[in-house]
Formats: sequence, structure tokens, C-alpha cells
Amino acid sequence: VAWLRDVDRWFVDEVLPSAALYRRVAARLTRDAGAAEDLVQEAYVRVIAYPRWRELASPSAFTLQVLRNLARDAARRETVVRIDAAADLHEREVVCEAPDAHAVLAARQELDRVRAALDALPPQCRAVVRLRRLEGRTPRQIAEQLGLSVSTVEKHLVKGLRLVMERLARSDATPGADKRSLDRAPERSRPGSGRVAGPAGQRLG
Amino acid sequence: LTEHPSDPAQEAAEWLVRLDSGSADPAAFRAWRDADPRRAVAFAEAVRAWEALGGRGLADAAVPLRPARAASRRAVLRAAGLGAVALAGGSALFVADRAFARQSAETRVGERRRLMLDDGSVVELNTDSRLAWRLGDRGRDAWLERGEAALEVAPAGAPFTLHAGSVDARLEPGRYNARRRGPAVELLVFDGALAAEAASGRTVRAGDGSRAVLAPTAAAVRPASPSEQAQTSAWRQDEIVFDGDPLAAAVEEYNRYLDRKLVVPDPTVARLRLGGRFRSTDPRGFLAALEAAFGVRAVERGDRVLLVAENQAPE
Repeated sequence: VAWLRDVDRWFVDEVLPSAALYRRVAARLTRDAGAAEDLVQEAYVRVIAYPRWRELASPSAFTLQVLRNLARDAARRETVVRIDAAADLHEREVVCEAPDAHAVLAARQELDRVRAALDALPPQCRAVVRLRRLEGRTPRQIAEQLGLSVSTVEKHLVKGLRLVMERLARSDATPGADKRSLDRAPERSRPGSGRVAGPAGQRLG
Repeated sequence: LTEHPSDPAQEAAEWLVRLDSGSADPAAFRAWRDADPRRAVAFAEAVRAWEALGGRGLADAAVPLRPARAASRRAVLRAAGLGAVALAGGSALFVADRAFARQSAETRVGERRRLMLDDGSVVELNTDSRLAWRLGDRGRDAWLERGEAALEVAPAGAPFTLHAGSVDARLEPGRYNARRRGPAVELLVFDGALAAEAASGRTVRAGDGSRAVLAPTAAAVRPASPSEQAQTSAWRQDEIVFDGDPLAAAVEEYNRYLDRKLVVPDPTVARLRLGGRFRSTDPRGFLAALEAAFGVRAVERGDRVLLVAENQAPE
């Protein structure tokens, strides 16, 4: 799409799919959910603004490292940091070649969440979102078909999009919800990337 | 443009929908996005949700599958859990007999011991602790000579008095945790009641869910929250819990359980604050967590283990 820069496309495809992992790690490194979300957002800001993003072998491992550094800096400022499961960071990076049933499950679960978000929308809003995203009608065609103005169609789309964004973020933050997590298989392995072959995940659609 | 102008997520959703329908000015969008990387992040998150909404799986049942490479966290945790059980050991129940005589029991560093006294009271000793007792017709006395003990004072029997240094506390039947801190003793009352005579002659009392610090010349009582109570008795499950403690204090606490003591030479490292739950019987998880969260490494030096920042490891 024309309005996405290369770095945005990369960020969506390579960084965001492991959001569940970042949020889980952030939850352990902070004291409350608000602080954890702030930490993740701050890490995202650093990563999307990182000028040498093209050189990163494992964007999700890099994002985790940024997150840990930010948490460490915060700790140096005398904030209390939960560290008991931080050792997980290392364990998580253990790579095994066997296909993982979790990844299959996680893909299904994300699908279920998006479907649930869609089902939770008011009927007309849901109809508009379906026509645009699943049947590929243009907003103008939808407006004509349903007898609405284009700006009303846009309002319905914004509403539907916001709900899905919220549902995805909220489920990401569910502690210990491995089955529902978004982190899945890495898109590709690179020789020489060593043991930091963090899960990169893949995007639906 | 927006209903919630301060919310980048809402703004991002609106921009995305308008760009998609062709009603937004791309130059204005770029100006909005480029003004703040937070907006670029919010826009990327909107794109992710937008694309998930258009996912193949929503239209038909096909779910894209790819093999995973990362070990499942669950499997790792399961392995860690088995290790912890193997290390915990458990504590045997010793039955102490010979009533009326003065008896005693003690634990070495890293040991934990549970005893049942003749009157039915149960005592559990934490690491490096020593308790003596005598059960008489007119009074039951126990002396906490060092360390920490959990006490379940049985209802049947004569008045029960706990002595620690020069402090004496009368304990009603109930459950307590007693810990020596130098000449003072810290008593947590889970349920029951205690009365102690302060130096001033005033009687200090503490009831259910309170913590009393009794020193030879001073006494203080305050309520103990449920989480504080859980933290105090964590050692009975071979656990050690920190809640915002500076590393120096956490290490001091850990060292009670370790023959090979941890040392933090650098005061800036010692001031790091941390929280968490660890196995008291095995510091490896604690040390791994310190390294992962703070970049603090453990370096062995003779009979001690130095905790140093990664970038200043001594050679």
C-alpha cells in the first residue's frame, strides 16, 4: 500500500507479530499493566525510529533487547523491577527445530479473537466491515448498497478497526496465555544469527 | 478530525480508514505520522488489525500454518518445575519426647526442620536456627536462640512464653512466625494474640494479622497485609520473596540460606530494586534473573560469589 513506508511494512511484518511475547516480558519487568504497556510502546518507538533496521537479523530479538535495556535503565532510576521470570528471556531463545503445536493453536486463537471482535460489533457496523475487508467492496459501493453516506461508512470502519486493535492488545497482555498468544513461528531462519533466533511470527492475511 | 485528539490509536484508525477510502490527503497524513514516532507505531498497529480483519481465515476456514522453532515456554517451565521439586527435599517430621526436660533442635545453613512437641505444638525451623523448649505443668517456655521459627501453639496446656534474648512474649494458642534480628525479635501473628512487657512497664499487645517488633528497650506493632504475611511464611515452601527490596537487602536475605555467600561490591549495583519469588534452596534462578534483568553477573571468588555489573567484571 502506498501510504506505508518500507520501515512500516517491516515493522508490521517482523516486529508486531511477537507483541504477545513483548507484553509478557514487559509484565514481568514492571509492577503493573499500565507500566508494562508503556514499556512496550517505548520499545516500539525506539525500534521504528532505528535507522539501521534493515540490518537486523532478528527484529523480535532486537525489540526484546531494547525492552530489556529500557527496563534496566528504569531500574537504575530506583524503580522496582520484577525479575523472577526474567531468566525466561534466555530460555525462550532456546531454539528447537521440531514443529510446535502451540504455533498452530496460536494462529487459530488469533483468528478466533478477530472473529469474536467482529461478532461483538453492532449489526450495521459489522456488515460494513465485512463488505469492505472480506468482500472487497469499496466504501462508495458499500454506501450505495446500504443507503449510507461515505462518511458514515468510514465511521463504522473506524469503530470496527478500533475494537479489533483493542482486542488484539488486550489478549496480548493476558498473563500466561500461551495458547492465545500471538508469537508464533519465525518467518525465516538466518545462518549465523546464533541462539537469538527469537520468534518472529507471521501475520494473518 | 478526531473524537479523541490526544489518542494516537484513534487517530491512526481514522487515518487508515480515510486513506483506504481515498478521502484523506496523503501529504497531510505523512505530516501527521512524521511528527511523532508514537504515531507511526500506532499506525502500524492499526495496519496489523486491518490486515487481520481481512485475513483469509475469516473468509474461509484455512489457517496458515508454519513450523515453530522456538521451544515452548511451557515445556521450559515444566522442566524447571521438576528441577525445583527435586531440589526442595522436603522436611521430615521429628517427634520430640521427654517432656519436662529442656530440649532443643537446630538447623544448619540451608536446612529446614519441622518438629512436633509433646503438647501437640508444631515448630518449624528455618535455615541456621536454634530453638530450645521446656514444657511444664505451670508454663511452657521456648527460647529462640538464633534464626527463625514458625510456631503453632497448641491450645491444650499451660501458658506459652517465647523468649528471645532479653525479650519475653506470651503467646496465646495460634500461629506465629518469630525471627531474631540481633537483640530484637520480630513476631508475626497470623492468628492468635501476643502480649509482651515493654521496658517502660507498659504491656504491648498484638492480635491477628499484625507484626510486632520487640527489642529490649522498644516495641512496635503494626498491621501486616495478606501479601506481607505470605512473604513472611514463604520460607516454609522453600521460597524467598522480594517486593521492592534493594539488591543489598535481597542478597543479605539470600545469604541466610547459602554456605557460599553472595557479595555486592558496587554500591550502585547494591541499590537496584527488585521483586520476585525464588527457590531459597537454589540461587541459580535468582542469579540467572539478575543477569537477564540487570546485566549483573555472578563471578566466583574463592568461597564467595561476587555480583558485578556486566561491563565491569573484575579479572
